Amino acid sequence: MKDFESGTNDLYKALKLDPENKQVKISLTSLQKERKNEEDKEKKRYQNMFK
Amino acid sequence: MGVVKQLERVETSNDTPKKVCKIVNCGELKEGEDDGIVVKKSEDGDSYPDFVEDSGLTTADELIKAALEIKKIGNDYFVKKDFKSAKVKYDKAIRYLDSSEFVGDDEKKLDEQTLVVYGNISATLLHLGKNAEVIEVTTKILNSDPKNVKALMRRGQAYSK
Repeated sequence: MKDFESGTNDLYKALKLDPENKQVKISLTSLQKERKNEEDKEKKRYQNMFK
Repeated sequence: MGVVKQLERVETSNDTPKKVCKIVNCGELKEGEDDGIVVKKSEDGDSYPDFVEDSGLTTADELIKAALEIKKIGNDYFVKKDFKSAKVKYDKAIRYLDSSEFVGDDEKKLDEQTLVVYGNISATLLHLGKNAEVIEVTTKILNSDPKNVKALMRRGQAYSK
């Protein structure tokens, strides 16, 4: 089960502790991308439901 | 004996073990018969017995030295992307770092090293795609070391996978 909320929380905390950490930045970017993907999928699902 | 102790250590909830513990064979061993537990001296350079109880090591410093060597062999596997074997070594190192029989500085030293190995385990689990376990292990790390950036990062990644 994906939990983007907790994931984002952890990554922001990590970034705060180590603002220059590239790996953390990359992880955060890919999380946001993944999140958007999931949200788009979700939207489509509901659109289909109410057609 | 090591087997019994390892079974003892399996985490439980409501007295039910969280992992499957199954007796698949029992009885008396004939003299010289292989018990199927002792792994042949491995070719990876790990000369320590699987169970710390069989190692004869007693002081914290001896145990840490052994655990570091075992961990290093795990790292070699990790670099070769053999994450399963790496995990086996890291789990073994954790057994050597068990601090429950120690107090004071010794306990602290062992626990410190345990956290480091947990770090390696979480990286390995992430590669194996075992995200629930990544969350479990990194949460353990963060309970003792809330500012561990790598643990936060790995847990963050695991949550979103």
